Amino acid sequence: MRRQLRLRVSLLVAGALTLFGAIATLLLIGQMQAAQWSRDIWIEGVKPGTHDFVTPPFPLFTYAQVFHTNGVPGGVHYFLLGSDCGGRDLLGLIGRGALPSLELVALVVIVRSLVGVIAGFLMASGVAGVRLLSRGMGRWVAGFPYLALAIIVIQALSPTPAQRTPLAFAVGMALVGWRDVAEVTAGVVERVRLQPYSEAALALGSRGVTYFRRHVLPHLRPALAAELPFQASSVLVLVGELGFLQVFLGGAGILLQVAGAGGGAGPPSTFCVLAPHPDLGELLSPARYYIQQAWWTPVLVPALVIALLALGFELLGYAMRLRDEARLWR
Amino acid sequence: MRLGWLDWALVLFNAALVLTLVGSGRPRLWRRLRRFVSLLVQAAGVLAVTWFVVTAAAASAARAGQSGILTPADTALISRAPEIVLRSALELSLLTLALAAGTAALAGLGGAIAAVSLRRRRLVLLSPLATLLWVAPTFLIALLVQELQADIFGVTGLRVAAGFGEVNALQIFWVAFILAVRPTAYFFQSARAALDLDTATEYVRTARAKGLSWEEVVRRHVARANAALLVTAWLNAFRTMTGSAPLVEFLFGYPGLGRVLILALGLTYAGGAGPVHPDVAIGLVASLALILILIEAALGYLEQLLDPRLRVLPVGA
Repeated sequence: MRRQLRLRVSLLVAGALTLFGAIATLLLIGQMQAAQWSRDIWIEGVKPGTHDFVTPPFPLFTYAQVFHTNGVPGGVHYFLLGSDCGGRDLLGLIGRGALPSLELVALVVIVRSLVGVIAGFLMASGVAGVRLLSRGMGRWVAGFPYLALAIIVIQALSPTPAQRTPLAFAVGMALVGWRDVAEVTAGVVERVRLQPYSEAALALGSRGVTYFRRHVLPHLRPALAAELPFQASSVLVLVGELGFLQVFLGGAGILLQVAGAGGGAGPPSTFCVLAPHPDLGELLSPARYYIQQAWWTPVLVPALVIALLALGFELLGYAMRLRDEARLWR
Repeated sequence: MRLGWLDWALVLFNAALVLTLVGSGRPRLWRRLRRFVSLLVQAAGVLAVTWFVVTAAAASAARAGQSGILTPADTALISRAPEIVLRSALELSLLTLALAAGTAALAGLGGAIAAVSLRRRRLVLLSPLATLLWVAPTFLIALLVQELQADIFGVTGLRVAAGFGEVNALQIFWVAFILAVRPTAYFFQSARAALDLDTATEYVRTARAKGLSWEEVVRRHVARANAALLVTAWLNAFRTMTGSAPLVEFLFGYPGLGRVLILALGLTYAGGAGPVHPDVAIGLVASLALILILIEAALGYLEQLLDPRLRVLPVGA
C-alpha cells in the first residue's frame, strides 16, 4: 500500500513538473522575444515566397512577413501561438503577462494563508465567543457567491481599470478563499489539542509560541503544504474569471479598428480593444468580442495556459496530500 | 415607508435577538429555534455586508466617473425598475441553477454508484476524467462549448446555439449544461470516494455474506450510510455552481442574476466603467446569497435527518 502511494505521489509530481517545465519554457521563449512583436500593431502579413495574405488575428504556427499600420514592412516572424486582433504575438504577450499574474497569485496565496491560519486558530480556540464569531464570519463568507464578492470588493477599492492596484485584488481575492485555509488549520489544531502528548505538554506548562512551534507546527506544515497548491490553482483560475468579466490588473486598453475576415465570420470592419501591457486575466477580457467574430485562437491560448498552470498546481496539491497520507501510514 | 436594505438587515437581526430571548432558559424550545436564529443572523449579516461593500463600490465609482458605454440591450436590461429587474433575473437564474443542480445530483451520484457497484475496469477511467473536468476552469469549458457550437454550424449548417442574449430553450440548456459540468465532476469524485471508503467495512462484508449482490449492497446500505456526506458534497458543488453563474451568464449574454449583477456593478463588455446601480446590485447579491443560505440550512436539516449521529451534536459543532 505504501509503495503504491509512493508511486502515485511520484507520478503526480512528475506530471506537475513536466507541465510546469513545458509552460516555463514557453513563457521564457516569449519573454526573450524582441519586444516589438508583442508591442507593435501589425495590420496584415504575407506568407514569405507566396502571395497569401493573412490578417490578424493570425492562427497558430503562422510564418509571415508583417506590415505596420502605415504599410511599412516590419520583418518576418513566426507566430507560434498565433496573434491577437492587433497582430501582436500571443507567445510574447503571454510570456510578459504571466509574470505579473503569477506575482499576484503569490501575493493572494500569502494573504489568504495568513488570514486563514489566524482565523483557523481562532476557530479552534477554546474561548466560546471567539470561536463562535470566527465560525460565523466563515459562514457569512461562504454564503456569498465568490465571484460576485471578489468583484464588489475590487470595484469598491478601485472602480476603473486605470485605478486597479494589486492591493485591491489581493484584498478582494483573499476575502473569498481564506475559509479553506482556516478550516484546514482549525482541523489540525483541534486534532493536536486532543492528543495525549499535547495535553501533557500543556499540563507541563508549555504555552504560546513554544507550544505552537513544538506541537502544532510539525502537523500544520504538511497540511498547509498540501493546501497551498490548491489555493494557487484556485487563485489563478479566479484571475482568469475576473479577466473575463472585465476586472483585470493591466489598465485600460486602446481601441483599434481592424479589417474583419481573419478566417472568421465577422463583419468587414470592426473594433477591438488592445491593452498595452496585458496580464493573463486581461488577455481574456476581449473574449466576448473574439467569440462574436469566431476568432478562437486569441482567447483559447491564454485560457489554456491558465488551465494548464492550474492543472500543474492541482497535481502538485494531490501529490502533497497523498504524501501526507503516506506519512500517516508510517 | 419603504424599507432600505440596511433596515431589512436590522429587522432580521432584531428578530434573531427576540427569538434568542424567547428561547433562553427553555432548552427544548431553543433546540427548535436555534437553527432559525442562526439563519436570521446569517441573512442579516449578508445583507449588511453587501450593503456596505456595494455602497462603497458605488461611491468610489461615482468619484471616478464613467468611461464605458453600455450596449442598447444592456441599457434596456438594467434601466427598468429594480423590482422588475430582480424578479426577472431571479426567475431565469433559478431555472438554470435548478436544472444544473439536478443534473449534477443525478449524473454525479448515478456515476458514483455505477462506478462503485459495477466495478468494471473501463469505469476506472471515469475518475481521472472527472478530476480533469473539475480542474478545468469554467471559462475554458464555456469557450470550448462555444467553439464546438460554431464548428457544428460550420460543418453541418445546423444551428445548435442560441443567439447572444437570447432567452430560449436552447440557451437555457447550454447555460445549465456548462454550469453543471464542474459540479457534476466534483460531486461524482466526492461521492465515489465516500462510497469507496465504506466498501471495506464490516457491515458491507456482512451484507455480502448474507447473499446480497454487490449492486444491492451499494444501493441499499453504502449509499444510505453515506447520505449525510453526499448531501455536504452536493452543497459544495452547488456553491461552485452559484459562484460561477455570473461568468457563464455574462459569456452567453443570458440575462440572469449573474449577468445583471455584472452590469449593475458598472462592468461593461468594452471594459470601461459603466453606471453603478447599487439597489439592483445589493438585491442580486443578497438574492444569490440567500438562495445559498436557505439551501444550506435545508440541507443541514436533511443531514440531521439522514444521520442520527448529527442529531446529538450542538449547532456549529
